[in-house]
Formats: sequence, structure tokens, C-alpha cells
Amino acid sequence: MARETWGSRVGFVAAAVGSAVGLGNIWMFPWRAGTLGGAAFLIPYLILLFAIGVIALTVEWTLGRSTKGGPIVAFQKAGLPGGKYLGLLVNIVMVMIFAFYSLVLGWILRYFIAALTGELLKTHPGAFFEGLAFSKEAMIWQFVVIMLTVAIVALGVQKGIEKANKIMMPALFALLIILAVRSVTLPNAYEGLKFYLLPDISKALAPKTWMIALSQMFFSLSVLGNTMVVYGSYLKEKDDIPLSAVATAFGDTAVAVTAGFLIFPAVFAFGLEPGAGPGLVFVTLPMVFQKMSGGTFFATLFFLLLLFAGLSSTVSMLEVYVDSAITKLNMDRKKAAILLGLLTFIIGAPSALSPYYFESILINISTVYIGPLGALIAALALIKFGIEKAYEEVKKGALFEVPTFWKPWVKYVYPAVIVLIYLYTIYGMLGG
Amino acid sequence: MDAVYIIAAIVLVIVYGPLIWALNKLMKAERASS
Repeated sequence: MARETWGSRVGFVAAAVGSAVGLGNIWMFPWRAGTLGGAAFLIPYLILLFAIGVIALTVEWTLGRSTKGGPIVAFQKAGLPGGKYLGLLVNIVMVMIFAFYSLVLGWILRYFIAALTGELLKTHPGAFFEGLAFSKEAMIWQFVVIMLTVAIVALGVQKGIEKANKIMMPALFALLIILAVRSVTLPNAYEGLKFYLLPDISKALAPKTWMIALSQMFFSLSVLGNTMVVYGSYLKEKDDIPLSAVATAFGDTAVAVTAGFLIFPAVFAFGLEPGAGPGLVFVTLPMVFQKMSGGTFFATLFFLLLLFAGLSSTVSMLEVYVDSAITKLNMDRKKAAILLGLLTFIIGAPSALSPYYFESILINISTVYIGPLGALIAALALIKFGIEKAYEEVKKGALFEVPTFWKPWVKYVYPAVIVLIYLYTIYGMLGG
Repeated sequence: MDAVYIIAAIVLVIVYGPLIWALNKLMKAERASS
């Protein structure tokens, strides 16, 4: 059976941005920018986005397109020793990531419904979150999120993933802009803008900030040797890789930067403490909406925004191993999506009852200890495939000239940077 | 005008500028090939 392809260049970028944009763009980037030099944080971030982020996307898409396969096929065809097993490993990582991510997205779906019905504005957000986070009810919402993802993936690359992203991504930007405009026009919003943007060059140029910016950018772009390899494998030869990488990298960054305009002015306007992570989204911001006029409306829009950001990512996660089942086990797409969705639920469901399993097993193993190795494996596979051949591949359909330094950069600098990020992340985990 | 608003405008141009430029170029290529 012929491999599916993207319907259009813009449809591909929408799907790639959808995969990259996730909850980290909303709850992590603005906080880091605000505390690490304000607007000046963009200096290291944008330099690294060009030097590493755009390159990373071109590496994974080139590997996918040239081998016409997801990680298992790509690593094998590239001639990487043990490629089949390494491909299997990054598939397992993806199952684990989807397993915990679906729980968080389940919380968001529950919050969206609570916002829509007005329930959220009448409760104490802290108590509401504590009652929901690790409960049997959360497991039900997790199941619903997985089934929504299954429904999109089952429809295929063009009719499912591409079509859904072509609706969700413009809607996400529209929601983001509406909410940011509302936020910056609140009384006292200025204090939030000051916190977020006032540049501190010395903080922004400190070596530690560069390392944090690098790690933030790298994880934000979803380059873990799986989703982007699969998405690249649906590219046609006439499709552009380098310009799509620029669009995806900046699309991801634009969402993250705009999220800061939404969060800080609103939080400061009502005298609350800014912060990062789940506490911001599930406790602090609902408090903001409770105090804001039109709070029900804006809370609904906000959780819809998060739902789109999350769903466009979970779709790319499930697609990785659905594609593997289609190509390696000759399974029908619909059957593969349903069966693997159920498998993900079986693996993910215990996380709804055990914070230890959720954090120490699923999150840490998949995103900290093994995840970044996927990016390294993909880079090594492309090097094994042959850097000259890869260079010819990346140039096919390119809408601008790919400089020749792409070759040594991919061969030497990029793998070294991944190792650096990996060591830094592990060091951070060990309390360094 | 206050410096913070000017910085905000610069930041938005820096991140949305390349995104709009790249999307526009991709859309033009799409139209040309269809």
C-alpha cells in the first residue's frame, strides 16, 4: 500500500506546529522569560532556535522523508546498528509520554467543561484541582482524551491529522490573541508586562540562561526522534524542508511568547503570585478568571486553547506507534488506532491514581532519562545514512538555498549539543 | 510612549515577522504548484 502524504505545504506546517506547541509553551516559557532576563531572554533563545532548533527539525524530517518511514524503518534503512530495537525504544518512549500527557489533558478537558458550565467560577480552584488531579474521575477524562485522539488519527494523515490541525492551529492563534488583548487591557496589566518584558541583559547572557534556553527550546520543538521523523516521512519530494522548519520553529515560539502576554498582565492585575507549571494553569489562572468580568467566557476560551494545544500534540504522539503498527504489523489504520489507544489507556490509567507512577515512572523515564536519546539516535541515523546524501535530500523542494555548513553542523555540532542537553538535564535531576 | 510597550511591539515583530514571511512563501509555492 502506498504511504500516505500531506495534502499541502501549509497543512504540514500546521501539523508540525501543532505537534510542537504543547502545554510547556503556555506554562513554562513565559515564566522562564520573565525570570531570566525578560525580553532579553529572546537573545539566547532566538540564536539557539536558528542554530539548533531549525537544524533539529531538518534532521528529523530529512531522515523521515529519505527513508519513507517512522523511527523503526528509518533507523533500519539508514543502516544504524540495532536500528530496529532503537526504533522500538523511541516508540515505547512515545507510548509513555502519551500515557501521562493524556492524564494532564484529561484535567484540561474537565476544566474546560467546568468553565463552560460556570462551575469553575463558583469553586475554590485549589480544592477543585486537588479533588480531580489523582482520582477515578480523572481516569475517565483521560480515557475521553485518548479516544478523541484515536478518532483523529484513525481518519488518516490528510483527512484526520492535517484537517484537524488546519482547524485547531488558526483557532489556537485566534484564541491566544483574543485572550492576550483582554489581559493587557486589564487595569494594572502594566506591572505584569514589566515583569515579563523589562530586559536584564546580564541575566539573559549568563551561561546558565543559555543552557536553560537551549533545553526549553529543544523540548518545545518535540525533537525526540519519533514524532518529527514520522511527520517527515509523509513529505513529498517537492515539499520544502528548511523553510517549513523556520515556520514551525517560529510558530512554536510565537505561541510561547504570546502566552506571556496573556498570563502575567492578568496575574498581576489581580495581585496574584506568578509561577510556572500546573499550579499556574489549574489554580492561579482560574482565580484570575473568577475576579475578571466576563470570567466564564474567557475561562472557557482559555481551556479550549489548552485543549487544542494538547490535542494537536497527542495526535502526533499516537501517530508514531500507529504508523509502526501499520508498516511493521500490516495492521489496518483504524484497528491500530483503537487497539493502541486502549493500550495507552491501560498503561496510563494507573497514573490517575498514583502521583509516584505519574511522575517518577512515566514522566521521568520518558522525558528525562530516555527521551533526549531519541534525538541523538535520529541524528546518528542520519549521519550513518550519509551526510552527502542527506544534504541532497534536504535540498529537494527547498524554497531557499541550504548552506553547505549544514553538513558539518549536523555531523558534529548538533549531536554534541544533544549530549550537552542530556547531561545538563540529568545533572538537574540529580539536584545539581 | 513607555519603553515597555515599545519592547512589547519589538518582541512581537521579531517572533511573528519570520513566521508570517515563511508561511507566505510556502503559500505562494503551493499556489504556484497547484
